[in-house]
Amino acid sequence: MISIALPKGRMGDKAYRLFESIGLECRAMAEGTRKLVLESEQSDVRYLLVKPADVAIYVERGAADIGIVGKDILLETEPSVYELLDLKMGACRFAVAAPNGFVDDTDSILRVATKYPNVSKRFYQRKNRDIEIIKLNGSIELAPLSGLSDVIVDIVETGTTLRENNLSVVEDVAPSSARLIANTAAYKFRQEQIDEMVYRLAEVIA
Amino acid sequence: MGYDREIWSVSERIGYELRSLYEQYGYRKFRMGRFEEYDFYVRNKEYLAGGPYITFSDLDGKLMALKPDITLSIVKNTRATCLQPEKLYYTESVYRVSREVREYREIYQIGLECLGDAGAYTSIEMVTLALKSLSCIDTEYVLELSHMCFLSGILGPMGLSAEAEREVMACLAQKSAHSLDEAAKTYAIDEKDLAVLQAVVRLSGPIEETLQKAQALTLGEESQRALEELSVLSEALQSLGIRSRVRLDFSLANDSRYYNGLMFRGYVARVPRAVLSGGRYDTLMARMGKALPAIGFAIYFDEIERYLKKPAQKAADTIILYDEQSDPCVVAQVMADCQQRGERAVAAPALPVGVSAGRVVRVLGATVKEERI
Repeated sequence: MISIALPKGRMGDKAYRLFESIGLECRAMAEGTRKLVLESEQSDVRYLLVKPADVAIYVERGAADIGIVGKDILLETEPSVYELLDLKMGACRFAVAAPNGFVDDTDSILRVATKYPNVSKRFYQRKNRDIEIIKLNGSIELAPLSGLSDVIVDIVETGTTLRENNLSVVEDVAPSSARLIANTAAYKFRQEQIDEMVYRLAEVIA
Repeated sequence: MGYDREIWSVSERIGYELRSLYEQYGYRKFRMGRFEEYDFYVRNKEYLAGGPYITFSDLDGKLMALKPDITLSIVKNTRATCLQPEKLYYTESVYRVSREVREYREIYQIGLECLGDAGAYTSIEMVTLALKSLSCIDTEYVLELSHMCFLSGILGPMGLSAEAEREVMACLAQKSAHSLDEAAKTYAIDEKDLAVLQAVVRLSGPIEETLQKAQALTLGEESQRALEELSVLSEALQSLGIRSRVRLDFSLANDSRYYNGLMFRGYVARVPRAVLSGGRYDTLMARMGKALPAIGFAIYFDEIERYLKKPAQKAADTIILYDEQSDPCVVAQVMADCQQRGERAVAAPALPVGVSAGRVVRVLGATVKEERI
Protein backbone atom coordinates (compact mmCIF):
# COMPACT_ATOMS: atom_id res chain seq x y z
CA MET A 1 0.00 0.00 0.00
CA ILE A 2 1.23 3.50 -0.84
CA SER A 3 0.59 6.30 1.69
CA ILE A 4 0.00 9.73 0.20
CA ALA A 5 0.23 12.83 2.40
CA LEU A 6 -2.10 15.55 1.13
CA PRO A 7 -2.15 19.12 2.47
CA LYS A 8 -5.50 20.02 4.00
CA GLY A 9 -7.22 22.79 2.10
CA ARG A 10 -7.54 24.00 -1.46
CA MET A 11 -4.27 22.61 -2.78
CA GLY A 12 -4.98 19.21 -1.22
CA ASP A 13 -8.49 19.09 -2.75
CA LYS A 14 -7.09 19.89 -6.19
CA ALA A 15 -4.29 17.33 -5.77
CA TYR A 16 -6.79 14.68 -4.71
CA ARG A 17 -8.81 15.32 -7.87
CA LEU A 18 -5.63 14.64 -9.87
CA PHE A 19 -5.11 11.32 -8.09
CA GLU A 20 -8.79 10.55 -8.61
CA SER A 21 -8.40 11.17 -12.33
CA ILE A 22 -5.74 8.44 -12.55
CA GLY A 23 -7.99 5.95 -10.77
CA LEU A 24 -6.89 6.38 -7.16
CA GLU A 25 -10.26 7.50 -5.88
CA CYS A 26 -11.37 7.18 -2.28
CA ARG A 27 -15.09 7.53 -1.57
CA ALA A 28 -14.57 8.91 1.93
CA MET A 29 -12.61 11.88 0.51
CA ALA A 30 -15.55 12.95 -1.61
CA GLU A 31 -17.90 12.64 1.36
CA GLY A 32 -16.01 15.33 3.23
CA THR A 33 -15.34 13.31 6.36
CA ARG A 34 -13.34 14.57 9.33
CA LYS A 35 -11.16 11.48 9.35
CA LEU A 36 -7.44 12.09 8.89
CA VAL A 37 -6.55 8.68 7.43
CA LEU A 38 -8.63 7.59 4.46
CA GLU A 39 -8.18 4.28 2.70
CA SER A 40 -9.22 3.79 -0.87
CA GLU A 41 -11.57 0.88 -1.41
CA GLN A 42 -10.68 0.44 -5.08
CA SER A 43 -6.93 0.87 -5.12
CA ASP A 44 -3.96 0.15 -2.94
CA VAL A 45 -3.47 3.66 -1.55
CA ARG A 46 -4.34 5.57 1.57
CA TYR A 47 -4.44 9.31 2.05
CA LEU A 48 -3.18 11.15 5.13
CA LEU A 49 -4.56 14.66 5.58
CA VAL A 50 -1.97 16.89 7.23
CA LYS A 51 -1.17 20.58 7.67
CA PRO A 52 0.47 21.88 4.46
CA ALA A 53 3.70 22.78 6.25
CA ASP A 54 3.96 19.26 7.70
CA VAL A 55 3.69 17.23 4.47
CA ALA A 56 7.46 17.23 3.87
CA ILE A 57 8.12 16.04 7.43
CA TYR A 58 5.71 13.11 7.02
CA VAL A 59 7.38 12.11 3.78
CA GLU A 60 10.99 12.67 4.88
CA ARG A 61 10.44 10.53 7.97
CA GLY A 62 8.63 7.81 6.07
CA ALA A 63 5.17 8.13 7.70
CA ALA A 64 3.97 8.75 4.12
CA ASP A 65 5.62 7.39 0.95
CA ILE A 66 4.76 10.35 -1.24
CA GLY A 67 3.18 13.74 -0.68
CA ILE A 68 2.05 16.97 -2.28
CA VAL A 69 3.72 20.12 -1.02
CA GLY A 70 4.37 23.70 -2.14
CA LYS A 71 7.86 24.46 -3.45
CA ASP A 72 7.91 27.38 -0.97
CA ILE A 73 7.96 24.90 1.92
CA LEU A 74 10.60 22.74 0.22
CA LEU A 75 12.82 25.78 -0.30
CA GLU A 76 12.42 26.82 3.33
CA THR A 77 12.90 23.43 5.02
CA GLU A 78 15.15 21.65 2.45
CA PRO A 79 13.98 18.16 3.39
CA SER A 80 15.91 15.18 2.11
CA VAL A 81 13.30 13.82 -0.33
CA TYR A 82 12.96 13.24 -4.08
CA GLU A 83 11.04 15.99 -5.88
CA LEU A 84 9.58 13.99 -8.75
CA LEU A 85 7.00 16.21 -10.43
CA ASP A 86 5.84 19.81 -10.75
CA LEU A 87 2.03 19.61 -10.61
CA LYS A 88 1.85 23.16 -12.00
CA MET A 89 -0.95 24.17 -9.66
CA GLY A 90 -1.05 26.58 -6.74
CA ALA A 91 1.42 28.70 -8.70
CA CYS A 92 2.78 31.73 -6.88
CA ARG A 93 6.15 33.35 -6.28
CA PHE A 94 8.44 34.32 -3.49
CA ALA A 95 9.04 38.05 -3.65
CA VAL A 96 10.51 40.93 -1.72
CA ALA A 97 7.86 43.61 -1.16
CA ALA A 98 8.10 47.07 0.38
CA PRO A 99 5.97 50.21 0.82
CA ASN A 100 5.39 51.97 -2.53
CA GLY A 101 8.31 54.21 -3.39
CA PHE A 102 10.76 52.32 -1.15
CA VAL A 103 14.46 52.97 -1.82
CA ASP A 104 16.97 50.55 -0.28
CA ASP A 105 19.58 52.34 1.81
CA THR A 106 22.52 50.00 1.18
CA ASP A 107 24.54 51.71 3.91
CA SER A 108 22.38 50.19 6.64
CA ILE A 109 21.27 46.73 7.71
CA LEU A 110 18.04 45.79 5.93
CA ARG A 111 15.29 44.60 8.27
CA VAL A 112 13.37 41.76 6.63
CA ALA A 113 10.10 40.43 8.09
CA THR A 114 9.15 36.96 6.88
CA LYS A 115 7.64 33.57 7.58
CA TYR A 116 10.53 32.08 5.57
CA PRO A 117 13.81 32.95 7.34
CA ASN A 118 15.96 30.40 5.48
CA VAL A 119 14.81 31.42 2.01
CA SER A 120 15.34 35.09 2.91
CA LYS A 121 18.77 34.47 4.43
CA ARG A 122 19.97 32.55 1.36
CA PHE A 123 18.60 35.15 -1.06
CA TYR A 124 20.38 38.06 0.61
CA GLN A 125 23.56 36.06 1.25
CA ARG A 126 23.91 35.56 -2.49
CA LYS A 127 23.58 39.33 -2.93
CA ASN A 128 26.04 39.95 -0.10
CA ARG A 129 23.50 42.18 1.62
CA ASP A 130 23.62 42.52 5.38
CA ILE A 131 20.14 41.84 6.82
CA GLU A 132 18.30 41.30 10.06
CA ILE A 133 15.59 38.66 9.91
CA ILE A 134 12.37 39.26 11.83
CA LYS A 135 10.50 35.95 11.94
CA LEU A 136 6.73 36.44 11.95
CA ASN A 137 3.90 33.92 11.79
CA GLY A 138 1.22 35.84 9.89
CA SER A 139 0.04 39.25 8.60
CA ILE A 140 3.54 39.86 7.27
CA GLU A 141 2.32 42.91 5.32
CA LEU A 142 1.79 44.77 8.56
CA ALA A 143 5.52 44.76 9.40
CA PRO A 144 6.75 47.50 7.02
CA LEU A 145 3.54 49.53 7.53
CA SER A 146 4.08 49.65 11.29
CA GLY A 147 7.84 50.28 11.06
CA LEU A 148 8.75 46.81 12.32
CA SER A 149 10.72 46.07 9.15
CA ASP A 150 11.95 47.72 5.94
CA VAL A 151 10.76 44.99 3.58
CA ILE A 152 9.03 41.60 3.64
CA VAL A 153 9.83 38.33 1.89
CA ASP A 154 6.60 36.45 1.28
CA ILE A 155 4.49 34.43 -1.12
CA VAL A 156 2.65 36.55 -3.66
CA GLU A 157 -0.25 35.06 -5.62
CA THR A 158 -2.32 37.85 -7.18
CA GLY A 159 -0.76 40.80 -5.39
CA THR A 160 -4.13 42.11 -4.15
CA THR A 161 -3.19 42.13 -0.46
CA LEU A 162 0.00 44.01 -1.30
CA ARG A 163 -1.85 46.62 -3.38
CA GLU A 164 -4.51 47.15 -0.74
CA ASN A 165 -1.80 47.87 1.80
CA ASN A 166 0.21 50.23 -0.43
CA LEU A 167 3.00 47.71 -0.88
CA SER A 168 4.58 46.55 -4.11
CA VAL A 169 7.00 43.86 -5.26
CA VAL A 170 10.58 45.09 -5.36
CA GLU A 171 12.31 41.86 -6.44
CA ASP A 172 11.39 38.28 -7.30
CA VAL A 173 13.07 35.58 -5.24
CA ALA A 174 11.82 32.26 -6.67
CA PRO A 175 8.72 30.78 -8.28
CA SER A 176 6.64 28.19 -6.42
CA SER A 177 3.95 25.62 -7.20
CA ALA A 178 2.77 22.25 -5.88
CA ARG A 179 5.31 19.41 -6.13
CA LEU A 180 5.06 15.66 -5.75
CA ILE A 181 7.73 14.42 -3.38
CA ALA A 182 8.77 10.90 -2.37
CA ASN A 183 10.57 9.36 0.56
CA THR A 184 14.01 8.23 -0.62
CA ALA A 185 13.85 4.75 0.94
CA ALA A 186 10.22 4.12 -0.08
CA TYR A 187 11.24 4.97 -3.66
CA LYS A 188 13.87 2.18 -3.63
CA PHE A 189 11.30 -0.42 -2.65
CA ARG A 190 8.32 0.84 -4.70
CA GLN A 191 9.94 2.54 -7.66
CA GLU A 192 7.73 0.90 -10.27
CA GLN A 193 4.48 1.92 -8.56
CA ILE A 194 5.66 5.46 -7.85
CA ASP A 195 7.13 5.97 -11.35
CA GLU A 196 3.87 4.74 -12.90
CA MET A 197 1.89 7.17 -10.76
CA VAL A 198 4.19 10.07 -11.68
CA TYR A 199 3.99 9.17 -15.37
CA ARG A 200 0.19 9.13 -15.36
CA LEU A 201 -0.08 12.35 -13.36
CA ALA A 202 2.33 14.02 -15.77
CA GLU A 203 0.10 12.95 -18.67
CA VAL A 204 -2.99 14.42 -16.99
CA ILE A 205 -1.41 17.82 -16.31
CA ALA A 206 0.40 18.07 -19.66
CA MET B 1 27.00 -19.18 32.85
CA GLY B 2 24.90 -19.21 29.68
CA TYR B 3 22.87 -16.19 28.67
CA ASP B 4 19.61 -15.50 26.98
CA ARG B 5 20.09 -13.90 23.56
CA GLU B 6 16.52 -12.62 23.74
CA ILE B 7 17.70 -9.86 26.06
CA TRP B 8 19.90 -8.35 23.33
CA SER B 9 18.66 -5.10 21.88
CA VAL B 10 18.38 -4.94 18.09
CA SER B 11 21.67 -3.01 17.80
CA GLU B 12 23.49 -5.45 20.06
CA ARG B 13 22.35 -8.41 17.98
CA ILE B 14 23.22 -6.71 14.70
CA GLY B 15 26.52 -5.51 16.17
CA TYR B 16 27.65 -9.03 17.11
CA GLU B 17 26.51 -10.50 13.79
CA LEU B 18 28.39 -7.83 11.82
CA ARG B 19 31.55 -8.23 13.88
CA SER B 20 31.60 -11.95 13.30
CA LEU B 21 30.93 -11.41 9.56
CA TYR B 22 33.84 -8.96 9.23
CA GLU B 23 36.19 -11.19 11.23
CA GLN B 24 35.32 -14.06 8.87
CA TYR B 25 36.50 -11.96 5.94
CA GLY B 26 39.80 -11.17 7.68
CA TYR B 27 39.04 -7.63 8.91
CA ARG B 28 40.68 -6.60 12.18
CA LYS B 29 38.95 -4.56 14.86
CA PHE B 30 40.35 -1.08 15.21
CA ARG B 31 39.77 0.66 18.50
CA MET B 32 40.44 4.31 19.04
CA GLY B 33 40.10 7.07 21.58
CA ARG B 34 36.95 9.14 21.88
CA PHE B 35 38.58 12.46 20.98
CA GLU B 36 41.05 14.16 18.67
CA GLU B 37 42.61 17.60 18.59
CA TYR B 38 39.98 20.08 17.45
CA ASP B 39 42.47 21.57 15.00
CA PHE B 40 42.51 18.26 13.07
CA TYR B 41 38.80 18.68 12.26
CA VAL B 42 39.13 22.35 11.44
CA ARG B 43 41.86 21.57 8.89
CA ASN B 44 39.73 18.86 7.28
CA LYS B 45 36.29 20.34 7.72
CA GLU B 46 35.36 19.95 4.07
CA TYR B 47 35.32 16.17 4.62
CA LEU B 48 32.97 16.36 7.56
CA ALA B 49 29.25 16.74 8.03
CA GLY B 50 28.60 20.21 9.42
CA GLY B 51 29.80 21.26 12.87
CA PRO B 52 29.91 22.59 15.49
CA TYR B 53 31.63 19.84 17.46
CA ILE B 54 31.70 19.20 21.19
CA THR B 55 34.98 20.66 22.41
CA PHE B 56 36.87 20.82 25.70
CA SER B 57 40.38 21.67 26.89
CA ASP B 58 42.68 18.85 27.95
CA LEU B 59 45.04 19.11 30.91
CA ASP B 60 47.66 20.96 28.81
CA GLY B 61 45.11 23.49 27.64
CA LYS B 62 44.91 21.93 24.14
CA LEU B 63 41.47 22.21 22.54
CA MET B 64 40.03 18.74 21.91
CA ALA B 65 36.83 17.54 20.21
CA LEU B 66 34.69 14.46 20.70
CA LYS B 67 34.98 12.55 17.40
CA PRO B 68 32.45 13.65 14.77
CA ASP B 69 33.95 11.15 12.29
CA ILE B 70 35.91 7.90 12.39
CA THR B 71 37.31 7.48 8.87
CA LEU B 72 39.46 10.62 9.14
CA SER B 73 41.18 9.24 12.24
CA ILE B 74 41.71 5.84 10.61
CA VAL B 75 43.22 7.44 7.51
CA LYS B 76 45.49 9.59 9.66
CA ASN B 77 46.81 6.59 11.57
CA THR B 78 47.01 3.93 8.87
CA ARG B 79 50.31 2.26 8.05
CA ALA B 80 48.90 0.60 4.95
CA THR B 81 50.94 0.35 1.76
CA CYS B 82 50.03 -0.95 -1.70
CA LEU B 83 51.65 -4.28 -0.87
CA GLN B 84 50.32 -4.45 2.66
CA PRO B 85 46.78 -3.06 2.61
CA GLU B 86 44.97 -2.77 5.92
CA LYS B 87 41.51 -4.25 6.39
CA LEU B 88 39.85 -2.81 9.47
CA TYR B 89 36.47 -2.51 11.09
CA TYR B 90 35.36 -0.38 14.00
CA THR B 91 32.42 -0.08 16.36
CA GLU B 92 32.45 3.46 17.70
CA SER B 93 30.22 6.40 18.55
CA VAL B 94 30.45 9.76 16.82
CA TYR B 95 29.08 13.04 18.14
CA ARG B 96 27.32 15.32 15.70
CA VAL B 97 24.60 17.91 15.54
CA SER B 98 21.34 16.35 14.43
CA ARG B 99 20.01 18.24 11.42
CA GLU B 100 16.37 17.99 12.49
CA VAL B 101 16.49 18.93 16.13
CA ARG B 102 19.68 21.06 16.23
CA GLU B 103 21.01 19.14 19.20
CA TYR B 104 24.13 17.07 19.73
CA ARG B 105 23.58 13.37 19.22
CA GLU B 106 25.72 10.35 19.96
CA ILE B 107 25.47 8.12 16.90
CA TYR B 108 26.70 4.56 17.10
CA GLN B 109 28.45 3.38 13.95
CA ILE B 110 29.95 0.18 12.68
CA GLY B 111 32.21 0.58 9.70
CA LEU B 112 34.59 -1.24 7.46
CA GLU B 113 37.64 0.16 5.66
CA CYS B 114 40.15 -1.31 3.24
CA LEU B 115 43.14 1.02 2.93
CA GLY B 116 45.82 0.50 0.28
CA ASP B 117 43.67 -1.44 -2.16
CA ALA B 118 40.41 -0.57 -3.87
CA GLY B 119 40.80 -2.62 -7.03
CA ALA B 120 38.20 -4.76 -8.75
CA TYR B 121 38.35 -7.62 -6.26
CA THR B 122 38.22 -5.34 -3.20
CA SER B 123 35.20 -3.52 -4.65
CA ILE B 124 33.41 -6.85 -5.07
CA GLU B 125 34.31 -7.80 -1.49
CA MET B 126 33.09 -4.45 -0.13
CA VAL B 127 29.77 -4.65 -2.00
CA THR B 128 29.32 -8.28 -0.90
CA LEU B 129 29.94 -7.30 2.71
CA ALA B 130 27.59 -4.32 2.40
CA LEU B 131 24.85 -6.66 1.11
CA LYS B 132 25.50 -9.22 3.84
CA SER B 133 25.50 -6.45 6.46
CA LEU B 134 22.09 -5.23 5.25
CA SER B 135 20.73 -8.78 5.42
CA CYS B 136 21.77 -8.89 9.11
CA ILE B 137 19.65 -5.78 9.72
CA ASP B 138 16.41 -6.71 7.96
CA THR B 139 15.06 -9.26 5.52
CA GLU B 140 13.98 -6.70 2.93
CA TYR B 141 16.87 -4.54 1.75
CA VAL B 142 18.49 -2.94 -1.31
CA LEU B 143 21.96 -1.65 -2.04
CA GLU B 144 22.20 1.25 -4.43
CA LEU B 145 25.38 1.80 -6.44
CA SER B 146 26.69 4.79 -8.29
CA HIS B 147 30.02 5.99 -9.65
CA MET B 148 31.34 9.51 -9.22
CA CYS B 149 33.33 9.34 -12.49
CA PHE B 150 30.19 8.62 -14.51
CA LEU B 151 28.76 12.01 -13.58
CA SER B 152 32.03 13.94 -13.61
CA GLY B 153 32.64 12.52 -17.10
CA ILE B 154 29.30 13.98 -18.19
CA LEU B 155 29.43 17.31 -16.35
CA GLY B 156 33.13 18.06 -16.98
CA PRO B 157 32.90 18.60 -20.76
CA MET B 158 29.76 20.78 -20.32
CA GLY B 159 32.00 23.48 -18.82
CA LEU B 160 29.39 24.70 -16.33
CA SER B 161 30.21 27.31 -13.70
CA ALA B 162 30.68 26.02 -10.16
CA GLU B 163 27.26 27.42 -9.20
CA ALA B 164 25.52 25.85 -12.20
CA GLU B 165 27.18 22.49 -11.52
CA ARG B 166 26.04 22.61 -7.89
CA GLU B 167 22.49 23.33 -9.01
CA VAL B 168 22.52 20.52 -11.59
CA MET B 169 23.87 18.06 -8.99
CA ALA B 170 21.09 19.13 -6.60
CA CYS B 171 18.45 18.51 -9.31
CA LEU B 172 19.92 15.08 -10.02
CA ALA B 173 20.06 14.23 -6.30
CA GLN B 174 16.36 15.13 -6.02
CA LYS B 175 15.48 13.20 -9.21
CA SER B 176 13.83 16.38 -10.32
CA ALA B 177 13.50 16.52 -14.11
CA HIS B 178 11.41 19.73 -14.00
CA SER B 179 14.04 21.51 -11.88
CA LEU B 180 16.68 20.56 -14.48
CA ASP B 181 14.59 22.39 -17.10
CA GLU B 182 14.56 25.49 -14.89
CA ALA B 183 18.31 25.23 -14.20
CA ALA B 184 18.95 24.91 -17.94
CA LYS B 185 17.11 28.20 -18.50
CA THR B 186 18.89 29.99 -15.63
CA TYR B 187 22.39 28.83 -16.56
CA ALA B 188 21.96 28.68 -20.37
CA ILE B 189 22.68 24.94 -20.60
CA ASP B 190 22.35 23.94 -24.26
CA GLU B 191 19.66 21.55 -25.48
CA LYS B 192 21.98 18.64 -26.22
CA ASP B 193 23.49 18.75 -22.73
CA LEU B 194 20.05 19.10 -21.14
CA ALA B 195 18.85 16.01 -23.03
CA VAL B 196 21.77 14.00 -21.57
CA LEU B 197 21.02 15.29 -18.05
CA GLN B 198 17.33 14.45 -18.49
CA ALA B 199 18.33 10.90 -19.42
CA VAL B 200 20.70 10.65 -16.43
CA VAL B 201 18.04 11.82 -13.95
CA ARG B 202 15.94 8.82 -14.98
CA LEU B 203 18.77 6.28 -14.71
CA SER B 204 17.69 4.29 -11.73
CA GLY B 205 16.59 0.70 -11.26
CA PRO B 206 17.91 -2.86 -11.24
CA ILE B 207 21.63 -2.78 -12.03
CA GLU B 208 21.72 -4.79 -15.27
CA GLU B 209 18.80 -3.01 -16.91
CA THR B 210 20.04 0.43 -15.82
CA LEU B 211 23.59 -0.27 -17.01
CA GLN B 212 22.21 -1.09 -20.46
CA LYS B 213 20.28 2.19 -20.53
CA ALA B 214 23.40 4.10 -19.46
CA GLN B 215 25.53 2.38 -22.10
CA ALA B 216 23.07 3.50 -24.76
CA LEU B 217 23.97 7.15 -24.08
CA THR B 218 26.77 8.85 -25.97
CA LEU B 219 29.43 9.22 -23.34
CA GLY B 220 33.00 10.37 -22.93
CA GLU B 221 35.90 8.16 -21.94
CA GLU B 222 35.69 8.81 -18.20
CA SER B 223 32.00 7.86 -18.01
CA GLN B 224 32.59 4.78 -20.17
CA ARG B 225 35.35 3.61 -17.83
CA ALA B 226 33.02 4.04 -14.85
CA LEU B 227 30.36 1.93 -16.59
CA GLU B 228 32.93 -0.77 -17.41
CA GLU B 229 33.92 -0.91 -13.74
CA LEU B 230 30.26 -1.24 -12.77
CA SER B 231 29.76 -3.99 -15.41
CA VAL B 232 32.59 -6.08 -13.96
CA LEU B 233 31.09 -5.65 -10.53
CA SER B 234 27.61 -6.53 -11.78
CA GLU B 235 28.82 -9.75 -13.40
CA ALA B 236 30.69 -10.80 -10.26
CA LEU B 237 27.60 -10.18 -8.12
CA GLN B 238 25.51 -12.18 -10.58
CA SER B 239 27.87 -15.15 -10.42
CA LEU B 240 27.79 -14.97 -6.61
CA GLY B 241 23.99 -15.02 -6.80
CA ILE B 242 23.55 -11.74 -4.88
CA ARG B 243 22.73 -9.28 -7.67
CA SER B 244 18.95 -9.15 -7.32
CA ARG B 245 19.10 -6.67 -4.41
CA VAL B 246 21.50 -4.31 -6.16
CA ARG B 247 20.29 -1.19 -7.95
CA LEU B 248 22.05 1.46 -9.91
CA ASP B 249 21.08 5.07 -9.30
CA PHE B 250 23.11 8.01 -10.55
CA SER B 251 21.21 10.46 -8.36
CA LEU B 252 23.57 9.20 -5.67
CA ALA B 253 26.51 11.53 -6.31
CA ASN B 254 26.29 14.12 -3.65
CA ASP B 255 29.77 14.25 -2.22
CA SER B 256 32.55 14.67 -4.72
CA ARG B 257 34.92 15.98 -2.04
CA TYR B 258 34.80 12.70 -0.17
CA TYR B 259 34.21 10.03 -2.80
CA ASN B 260 35.95 9.68 -6.15
CA GLY B 261 34.81 6.35 -7.63
CA LEU B 262 32.32 3.66 -6.69
CA MET B 263 29.70 4.85 -4.18
CA PHE B 264 26.97 2.93 -2.44
CA ARG B 265 24.11 3.37 -0.08
CA GLY B 266 21.99 0.74 1.64
CA TYR B 267 18.33 0.79 2.63
CA VAL B 268 16.14 -1.60 4.61
CA ALA B 269 12.38 -1.54 4.15
CA ARG B 270 11.40 -0.59 7.67
CA VAL B 271 13.75 2.42 7.97
CA PRO B 272 12.85 5.55 5.96
CA ARG B 273 16.47 6.65 5.39
CA ALA B 274 19.72 5.11 4.22
CA VAL B 275 21.31 3.01 6.97
CA LEU B 276 24.55 2.27 5.15
CA SER B 277 26.73 4.59 3.19
CA GLY B 278 30.17 4.26 1.65
CA GLY B 279 32.45 4.37 -1.34
CA ARG B 280 35.94 4.89 -2.63
CA TYR B 281 37.80 7.81 -1.10
CA ASP B 282 41.29 8.14 -2.65
CA THR B 283 40.95 11.96 -2.57
CA LEU B 284 40.64 11.97 1.20
CA MET B 285 43.68 9.66 1.46
CA ALA B 286 45.70 12.01 -0.76
CA ARG B 287 44.64 14.99 1.34
CA MET B 288 46.09 13.21 4.40
CA GLY B 289 49.36 12.66 2.54
CA LYS B 290 48.73 9.00 1.68
CA ALA B 291 48.75 8.38 -2.04
CA LEU B 292 46.83 5.13 -1.72
CA PRO B 293 43.43 3.92 -2.82
CA ALA B 294 40.86 3.18 -0.13
CA ILE B 295 37.24 2.08 0.09
CA GLY B 296 34.87 1.58 2.98
CA PHE B 297 31.39 1.98 4.40
CA ALA B 298 29.63 2.71 7.67
CA ILE B 299 26.31 1.63 9.15
CA TYR B 300 24.46 4.19 11.25
CA PHE B 301 22.57 2.81 14.19
CA ASP B 302 20.55 5.89 15.17
CA GLU B 303 17.95 5.21 12.48
CA ILE B 304 18.04 1.45 13.02
CA GLU B 305 17.42 1.79 16.75
CA ARG B 306 14.54 4.18 16.18
CA TYR B 307 12.61 2.04 13.72
CA LEU B 308 13.53 -1.57 14.47
CA LYS B 309 13.25 -1.58 18.22
CA LYS B 310 11.71 -4.61 19.89
CA PRO B 311 8.66 -4.18 22.12
CA ALA B 312 9.87 -3.69 25.68
CA GLN B 313 10.08 -7.11 27.26
CA LYS B 314 8.01 -7.17 30.39
CA ALA B 315 7.21 -10.79 31.00
CA ALA B 316 8.50 -12.78 33.99
CA ASP B 317 8.13 -16.47 34.66
CA THR B 318 7.66 -15.90 38.39
CA ILE B 319 6.86 -12.90 40.57
CA ILE B 320 7.86 -13.38 44.21
CA LEU B 321 5.90 -11.08 46.54
CA TYR B 322 7.18 -10.31 50.03
CA ASP B 323 6.40 -7.88 52.85
CA GLU B 324 7.97 -6.81 56.15
CA GLN B 325 6.98 -10.06 57.85
CA SER B 326 8.49 -12.27 55.13
CA ASP B 327 11.60 -14.25 56.03
CA PRO B 328 14.31 -12.78 53.73
CA CYS B 329 16.18 -16.10 53.65
CA VAL B 330 13.06 -17.84 52.30
CA VAL B 331 12.59 -15.12 49.66
CA ALA B 332 16.25 -15.56 48.66
CA GLN B 333 15.80 -19.36 48.50
CA VAL B 334 12.68 -19.07 46.27
CA MET B 335 14.65 -16.73 43.98
CA ALA B 336 17.60 -19.16 43.91
CA ASP B 337 15.25 -22.04 42.98
CA CYS B 338 13.80 -19.99 40.12
CA GLN B 339 17.31 -19.17 38.85
CA GLN B 340 18.24 -22.85 39.12
CA ARG B 341 15.34 -23.66 36.77
CA GLY B 342 16.54 -20.95 34.35
CA GLU B 343 13.47 -18.80 34.95
CA ARG B 344 13.18 -15.02 34.74
CA ALA B 345 11.95 -13.97 38.21
CA VAL B 346 11.17 -10.65 39.90
CA ALA B 347 11.07 -10.23 43.70
CA ALA B 348 8.97 -7.23 44.74
CA PRO B 349 6.77 -6.00 47.61
CA ALA B 350 3.81 -5.51 45.22
CA LEU B 351 2.89 -6.68 41.72
CA PRO B 352 5.13 -4.62 39.39
CA VAL B 353 3.12 -2.44 36.99
CA GLY B 354 2.97 -3.69 33.41
CA VAL B 355 4.80 -6.98 34.04
CA SER B 356 2.95 -10.15 33.15
CA ALA B 357 3.93 -13.36 34.91
CA GLY B 358 3.50 -17.09 34.48
CA ARG B 359 2.93 -17.50 38.22
CA VAL B 360 2.92 -15.39 41.38
CA VAL B 361 4.09 -16.66 44.77
CA ARG B 362 3.82 -14.84 48.11
CA VAL B 363 6.21 -15.39 50.98
CA LEU B 364 4.20 -15.19 54.24
CA GLY B 365 6.57 -15.39 57.21
CA ALA B 366 8.53 -18.53 56.35
CA THR B 367 5.91 -20.19 54.12
CA VAL B 368 5.52 -19.90 50.37
CA LYS B 369 2.03 -19.69 48.95
CA GLU B 370 1.07 -19.78 45.30
CA GLU B 371 -1.35 -16.97 44.37
CA ARG B 372 -3.93 -16.97 41.64
CA ILE B 373 -3.21 -14.44 38.90
